[in-house]
Amino acid sequence: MNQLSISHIEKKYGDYVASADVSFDIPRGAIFGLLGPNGAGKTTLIRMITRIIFPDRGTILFGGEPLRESHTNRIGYMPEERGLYKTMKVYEHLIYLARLKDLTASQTSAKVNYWIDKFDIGGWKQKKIEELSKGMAQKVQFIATVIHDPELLILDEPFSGLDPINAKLIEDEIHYLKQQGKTIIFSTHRMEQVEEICDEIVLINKGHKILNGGVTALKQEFKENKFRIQYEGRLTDQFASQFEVLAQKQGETIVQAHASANAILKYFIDHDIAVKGYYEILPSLNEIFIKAVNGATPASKPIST
Amino acid sequence: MKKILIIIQREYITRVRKKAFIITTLLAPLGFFAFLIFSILIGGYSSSIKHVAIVDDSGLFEKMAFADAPDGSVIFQKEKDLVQLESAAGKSKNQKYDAIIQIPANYDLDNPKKININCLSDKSMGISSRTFINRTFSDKIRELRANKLNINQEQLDNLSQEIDLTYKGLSEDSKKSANATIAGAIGYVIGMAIYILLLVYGTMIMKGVMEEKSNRIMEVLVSSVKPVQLMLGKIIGIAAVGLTQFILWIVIMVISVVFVIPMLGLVPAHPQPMPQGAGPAGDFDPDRIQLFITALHEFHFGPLLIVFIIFFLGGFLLYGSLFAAIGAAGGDETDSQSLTFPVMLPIIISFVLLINVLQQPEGNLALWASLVPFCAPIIMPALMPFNPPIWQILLSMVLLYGGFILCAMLAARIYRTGILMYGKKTTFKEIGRWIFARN
Repeated sequence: MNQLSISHIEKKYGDYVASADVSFDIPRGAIFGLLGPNGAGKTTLIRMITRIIFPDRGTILFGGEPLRESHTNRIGYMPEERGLYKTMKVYEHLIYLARLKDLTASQTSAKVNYWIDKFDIGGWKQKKIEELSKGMAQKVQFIATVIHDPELLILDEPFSGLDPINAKLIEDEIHYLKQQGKTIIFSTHRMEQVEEICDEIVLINKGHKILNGGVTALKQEFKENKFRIQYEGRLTDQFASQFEVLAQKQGETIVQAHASANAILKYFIDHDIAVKGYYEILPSLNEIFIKAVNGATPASKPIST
Repeated sequence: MKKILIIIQREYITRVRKKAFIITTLLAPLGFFAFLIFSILIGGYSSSIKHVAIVDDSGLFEKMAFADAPDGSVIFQKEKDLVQLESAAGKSKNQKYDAIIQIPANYDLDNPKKININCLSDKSMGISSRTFINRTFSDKIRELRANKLNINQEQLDNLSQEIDLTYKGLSEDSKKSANATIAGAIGYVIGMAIYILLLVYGTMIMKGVMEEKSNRIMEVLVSSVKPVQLMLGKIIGIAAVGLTQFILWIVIMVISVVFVIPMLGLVPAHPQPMPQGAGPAGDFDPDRIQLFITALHEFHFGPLLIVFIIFFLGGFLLYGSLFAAIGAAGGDETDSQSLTFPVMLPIIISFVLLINVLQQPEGNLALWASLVPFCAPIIMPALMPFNPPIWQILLSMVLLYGGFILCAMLAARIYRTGILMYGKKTTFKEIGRWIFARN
């Protein structure tokens, strides 16, 4: 069951193409990475999902139904450019934002208090936003995003400007929400950050979809059969002539495997060199992205990996 | 719809509980009254006219005695020769008289408007002195005319009592013109009030939108509510703030007029010693206040207030939506200044037109200006003291609210795009593109 189905979305601003025929699905309960460099069209896509702007063409389904106004109450969105009213107090601000999501007055105060306790910011309830530290304000912002218990959470660059402690807090919270069956969209240009968190990703560049799929599957697809072997002892000269050695240092070698990877391992066994570690090198999302972009747009210069 | 109400509530409450709002709401009427009382005092006491010569070339007033003003601000003295007086005045700086009233030889009692009685003075004359002299002469002329018509003393007393109640000036004509002057003054005050409220609260809307944009809360908000809801919520919320302030002003002023002014009337406000035992009430000249208050009573304040509120709100909604659009389009304060000008311009033009319109309230300019939606909020309420025809009021109202709907639709398109634009300087060409963009 897909939480969100995006099909053939197109959005232009004058001659500028922000989204060109983009299609992908986001399964329910997944942590989904919306990845791409700056200006790739991530925010445009998110704004179309949150009904801030509307696609020129294409359809978006929310839980199988065409996206409509009432769905926005079931979406929590933390934009990249985020902020709060500086002169409002933390508590009343959270109440206000929750009420705008159609929560009733009685529901609202219970939820606000729950989250205030959870994030341990009870002492800040009556402080004005402008008195908060940046990390505190980010916590309030996050609470505002999840206060109405949304099925779909969209976080645009959620870790930017966060210190490691608060980043960890948000990350834990995201895993907790996933356990509760929520769907989470992560949008970021810093792919290394989401590699471990995301189940699935879509890679976009210049408004076009480049790649889409499960993180593990993509890594398998883009792997180059490179192996790292850590060992104790000395390699014979024969090793370099027998295998394509990409890098070599004391006790570690990286080899490009052409046929069976086990042939390499066999060499070590035959020569009685103790193997300490034997790993297949999988590409990072960053590398996959660069490779995919170069593949998709041959005109651009090749970037050395 | 529920969301708009929540937005209105926030916009309203956060502003109304601000100290600045409370202070201006309380201080503005105080300032107004300080100004009013100051100008009454200045008008009354700056009067330098003391000694007034009466040169009666007609001989009509020969047997008449002229009573001085009870507070000593005007002292009459009959003189024979105008030429002699004038040459004496030319020679000496220490003039004996501050003003000379000359009754022409051919003054016609049967037709008092044909040839006027002149009052010659180099100095400015206070309203109270002027009123006193006018009243004295109209009394005297009335008396003479009564004698001529063989009306006896009893009848005259009756007559003069009645005349006292409707007293406005020398004749019916001047009564009408006095009324027109007061109507004009009321109209001007109303027009000015709306002008100031539009500018102050319009700017407040613009700043509010800019704040949301620069705070970066905008995108959080528009993922929950439609931009047009956000815009209307803000405009209506701030309009309610403006209306609250205005109504509080009216309440404070009514309380002041009812309680404070009579108190002032009883308190001797004159710092100088009283000449010839004039009472404190006479000192403050209750007649002047009475004139002011009776003039105010002659206007129908109920309908005026309703029309004022309808047009204030209409104008507020119309200009508010334009100011909101400008706030959304502009990135920062300096950027917005050039964008603000075209919105400010019609407000300022209306205010400039107001002066011309009030001089000829039944003229073509007044009619057309009251029908143009951009001018109507200032012009139409200002015309109300002149009792314009109902169709004109209704048509103006319909056009104003129609204009608002068009402006709001236009503004919503600018707003929707503008609030998400950062970093670029916005040009009018760009705004034009936003208006005609799909979606």
